[in-house]
Amino acid sequence: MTVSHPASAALESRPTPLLPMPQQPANPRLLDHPGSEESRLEKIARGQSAPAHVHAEIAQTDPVLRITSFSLWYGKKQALFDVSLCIPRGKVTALIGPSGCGKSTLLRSVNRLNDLIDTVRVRGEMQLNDDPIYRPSVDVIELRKRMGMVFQKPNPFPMSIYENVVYPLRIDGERDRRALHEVCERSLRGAALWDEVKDRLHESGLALSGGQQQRLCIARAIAGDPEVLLLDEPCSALDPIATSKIEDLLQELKGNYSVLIVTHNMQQAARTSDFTAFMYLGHVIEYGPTGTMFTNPHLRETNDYITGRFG
Amino acid sequence: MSGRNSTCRRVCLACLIYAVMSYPAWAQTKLDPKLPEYKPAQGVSGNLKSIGSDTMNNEMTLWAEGFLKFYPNVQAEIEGKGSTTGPPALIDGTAHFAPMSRPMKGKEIDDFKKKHGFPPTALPTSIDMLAVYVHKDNPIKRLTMQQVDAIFSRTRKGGFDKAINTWGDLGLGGEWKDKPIALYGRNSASGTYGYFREHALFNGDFRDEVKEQPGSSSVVQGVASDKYAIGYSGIGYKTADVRAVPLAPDSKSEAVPAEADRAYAGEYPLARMLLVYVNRKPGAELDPLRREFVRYLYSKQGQSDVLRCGYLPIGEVIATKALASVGLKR
Amino acid sequence: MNASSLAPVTENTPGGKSGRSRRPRKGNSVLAQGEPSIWGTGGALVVAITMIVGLLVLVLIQGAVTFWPMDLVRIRTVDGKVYLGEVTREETYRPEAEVFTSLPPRERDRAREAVQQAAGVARRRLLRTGNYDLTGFHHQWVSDFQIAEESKPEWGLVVERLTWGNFYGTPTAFLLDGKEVASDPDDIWAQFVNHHDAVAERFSRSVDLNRHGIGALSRKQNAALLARKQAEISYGKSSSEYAVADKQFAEVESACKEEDARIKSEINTLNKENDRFQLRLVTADGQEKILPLADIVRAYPANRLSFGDEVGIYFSRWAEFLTQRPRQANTEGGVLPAIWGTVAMTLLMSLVVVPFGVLAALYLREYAKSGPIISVVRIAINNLAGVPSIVFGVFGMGFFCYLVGKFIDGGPQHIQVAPMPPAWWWLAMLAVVLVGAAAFLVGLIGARDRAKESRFGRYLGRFAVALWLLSLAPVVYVVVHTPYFSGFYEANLPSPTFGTGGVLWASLTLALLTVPVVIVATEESLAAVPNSMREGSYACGASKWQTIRRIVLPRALPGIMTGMILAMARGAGEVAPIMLVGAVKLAPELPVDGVFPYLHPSRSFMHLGFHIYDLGFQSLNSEAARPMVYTTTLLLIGIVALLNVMAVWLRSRLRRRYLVSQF
Ligand SMILES: Nc1ncnc2c1ncn2[C@@H]1O[C@H](COP(=O)(O)OP(=O)(O)OP(=O)(O)O)[C@@H](O)[C@H]1O
Ligand SMILES: [Mg+2]
Repeated sequence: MTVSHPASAALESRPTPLLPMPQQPANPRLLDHPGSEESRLEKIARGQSAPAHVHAEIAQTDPVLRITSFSLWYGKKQALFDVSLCIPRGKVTALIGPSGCGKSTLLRSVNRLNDLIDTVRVRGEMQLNDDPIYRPSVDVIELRKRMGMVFQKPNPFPMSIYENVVYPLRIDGERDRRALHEVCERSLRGAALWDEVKDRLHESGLALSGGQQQRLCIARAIAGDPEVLLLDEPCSALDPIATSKIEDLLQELKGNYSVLIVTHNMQQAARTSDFTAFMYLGHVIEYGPTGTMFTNPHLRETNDYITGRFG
Repeated sequence: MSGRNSTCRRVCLACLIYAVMSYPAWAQTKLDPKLPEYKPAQGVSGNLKSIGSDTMNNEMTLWAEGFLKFYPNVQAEIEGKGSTTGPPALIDGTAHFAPMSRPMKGKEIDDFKKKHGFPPTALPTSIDMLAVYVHKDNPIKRLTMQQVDAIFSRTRKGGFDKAINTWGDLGLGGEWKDKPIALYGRNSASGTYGYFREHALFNGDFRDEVKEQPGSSSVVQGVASDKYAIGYSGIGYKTADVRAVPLAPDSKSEAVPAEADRAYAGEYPLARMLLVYVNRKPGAELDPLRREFVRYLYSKQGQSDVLRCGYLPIGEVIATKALASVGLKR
Repeated sequence: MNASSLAPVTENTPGGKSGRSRRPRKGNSVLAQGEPSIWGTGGALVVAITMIVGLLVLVLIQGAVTFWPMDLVRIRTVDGKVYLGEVTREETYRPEAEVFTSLPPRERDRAREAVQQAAGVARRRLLRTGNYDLTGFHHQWVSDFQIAEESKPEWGLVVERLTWGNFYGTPTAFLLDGKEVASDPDDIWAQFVNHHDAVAERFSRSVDLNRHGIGALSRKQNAALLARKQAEISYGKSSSEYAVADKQFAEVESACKEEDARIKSEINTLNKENDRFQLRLVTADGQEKILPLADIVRAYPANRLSFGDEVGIYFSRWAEFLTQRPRQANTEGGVLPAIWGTVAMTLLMSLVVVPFGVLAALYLREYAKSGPIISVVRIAINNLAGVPSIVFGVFGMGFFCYLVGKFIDGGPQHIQVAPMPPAWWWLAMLAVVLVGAAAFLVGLIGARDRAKESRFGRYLGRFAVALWLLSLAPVVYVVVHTPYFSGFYEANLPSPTFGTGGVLWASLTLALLTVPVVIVATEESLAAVPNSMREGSYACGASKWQTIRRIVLPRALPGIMTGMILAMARGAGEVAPIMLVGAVKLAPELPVDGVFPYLHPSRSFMHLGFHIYDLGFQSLNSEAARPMVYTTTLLLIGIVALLNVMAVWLRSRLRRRYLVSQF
């Protein structure tokens, strides 16, 4: 799949070092002084490249997932531009940015779901625990088993709750009923759904409410004991109560799992995540600890977005 | 071709004459008491397949039903889509019997000979009267064969001086006077079509207006539902809704109604033999299944089946002769 | 020029207060209003529904009333003829003047006057008079002005017989061993009711003995005969194998002879016992007729029936219709073989068409990359659905019956193919096997590589497919030219076994006819499976096949069932093609029965659709057959509906399992 897109040579931007080297400005506030320089966003919109601003704290973390200079094209249209990110182990990392900026695309690139789309071409590399993701020798199926993914819309399978949860084990050929049951209970407890469904495990998974369905999907995602959990706006279809349940769940999962979560909800990002990356039109603009990002962002654009001045 | 055809015709004529000889006129549609009772033989089984005439479709079915009473595990399959479908099936061996409402044509016999080296054997089984039907309310009293020709054919080889298009042309008055005649007939695969063409059209051609029906019964039903219609079909298919018109060989002769004794007397102009063809090597023995079926045809039971479907049974003389032609004694 | 032409326009603007020129509104245009389109579309719907409902109601009513027993009418006409029968139809007509001249002079004027008073219109009724063996006709029209006397005789008896059709008459005696034991109608009827059940029971026992007992014997004998013939063909008449087979045949024959005699004597006793009971009747015109009780299917005094009796007769007729074999060239009796034939053929067809259709649709929708070839294939499939069905019949006859079937029967020689010399044949075989093995290996390597998403793997895959295709034609060639096969049914030749129409070939032909229906329906239901489900499965690390098997197929199952329902409905109702590939007028042996091997795929079969055609167009007695046409149609509709209901029920069960509301 590592095939250069014909147009890539022309679009190629300044090569980025394999490890993102945070440039530490003396006074970040001055970096983008109003009127002093043209806004990064405008530059990006014009098709020029702008280097990502990565906080120093990131470099001190232990990355579980390393994205290096990753670009992606849907046919002729480029959706990701030289994205480089390190996702810390055992932490929750939030991806924020305006609609259509490529958050989902990035997430789906991590477990190579984009392979299913014929027109997709990629360049760059990702590593999961130092194992390459985009190499011809990689077994995609095995790779995906190491990650769990929850989608924007709940997508339980047309089978019983029980079967939904143990699906990742079923496809591995696990037959031992005790083991299956154990995993089922553990995952459902993990997804804070056990008490609600423990008496009707053999009813259809589609008979649950939307929030329950989403938690079922989370249970399914953690059943396979993944190294990374990818969550794509898991609460977008949920009411506040279900949302808060899932947020609580995230707090519980933290530590055991490394989580990469996409969200449009700033409060949610602020509440649940340890690190936050701000993306714009396929570029990473700023990436740092959530506290700093929301209270004292280094870039003016980030501040504007967080405070709702655009996007 | 015509030579061979005329032999066929001679055979049929001979059969008819035998029929007359073996039947006093009063016997009407009674069975010849001299016909043997059928006695089942042992060890008859297998698949009995018949492909051929539509006119004889029901007759074949009745025979098969009767035969199956004696041999319940014989599998009988009857197909009747027209006499023309019989010879190829017999040549191929797909059918054991080819019922035909007309004698085989020279070409068909040739084809058979080419494959097997000997001609097929024709068994005269019963007599049909091809009737010209009109609607039950139609007042027409009689038709000459020349008129029939002028109604159905565009060539008028019978010699009638003008085409007949309306009932008025046949001398009907009143509301019938200028009503056009609707023509019903059989499709060209059927033996009835061929026979009618040969004997009623004097080998001429049918008009294009003849509505060709897929079955004998549908001709009758067509005529029954169309007041101004005329059609030809076997006498076995007559219903209360139609009337068979008496036919005269020419304008000077008396018109002969389609009645059994007139057919036996050789007076009805469209009486014909219904034949069943079999594939038998001269001198060879028929296999038990076919042998027994043939014996059944010429038994009391078989000929009573003929009566049941409205045709005329044959007498003992023809039966004995036919049995002899396939090496069987009665 | 411009200004001068503009000025008057401004002035002339209607109601030109504002001075703005407005497009004149066509307020009264009919099209501008919504109603006409509502009326138009609604009207079309109503017409369509009326047609469908009308059709169903017609068939339902006509089919349902057929078996209801009718009163017997005895009519004496003015010219002295007497008829007894059931009124089946009536109509009015304008009698020609000649009609009256056939009446006796005294009645002529009276009749003419009566008709004149009714404005020239007369009523006539069609009497079913039966007694074909005595009269030579089944039905008789009687006009009202011909009637001298009309009555409903109390003891008019309708007798349904095994042969010769119905008999109508009044009973004069009940005969036991030829002696009159009852002569009063009440007594006769009591005797009849008393004895008929036992007689019918004995009769059916003797039929059973004949069918099963003697049938099994002749089957055994036939098998031995065929074995001997096979031995003769394979080893020659002087071989030891032939001698063994011959001995065996002789043994079987002698054993069968004994058994045969035993069964026959048993049957004889039953028949003798039955022959003791006879009923003597006299027809309306005074002819006497003695009917053996064994020949009577059912008899009833039509004018003495209570409502309960009528209902009983009605249902017993339905029961006969559904469970008995046909009689009298299919115009009487039941349609059991046709029901079995239709159901067996339809189920066999579904068995073939569903897997094939589903696999094809899976490939088209899940595996194939969309491209020009796939589009062409899809268009071709859709067009296949529009090909006239008779074309499939012709293909089925030419390919299945005359090629495949004959090959099965008699090997290469039987389809005019010269077998290859053995050496050449083995060489060709070797080549084919090598190509096949190469294809397999390449495919295997390719599959391993493809799993790693390498482009090389994909090329290998294509290469393997090409190799498979390449080896396909030689495989067919080699099989067809084999010198080592001379047919499974060689001993039976020239009688065809598979080389003629049969239920298997009919099913395959119809499968071909209906496979587009299944493919299209399945493709649609596959397309309706939300992509998010597939992605969810892939994200769990499922392979493509696992995703299809565990997620896509279960979810698409209701849609696939819909396809199957449509295919079954189409297949069960199709008549034209099966006339060419195995449906026959009479095939009392069922394609599925209790004799090993239970399913007999080579047998011709009866089919309800074809039965309708046969009754309608080829029936001996079209007047009597007409009600049967409707009844059989009703039955066919019923069976198709039943098959559909079963499938719909299955589908809704599946739906409930898989498709509960989203939120
Ligand atoms: N299958 C596809 N084919 C072509 N273009 C696509 C496809 N999926 C996404 N895109 C484009 O890629 C860009 C990024 O899309 P993506 O779904 O990643 O946005 P997003 O950040 O997740 O937005 P949202 O917050 O609305 O979910 C968009 O411009 C979108 O139009
Ligand atoms: Mg998104």
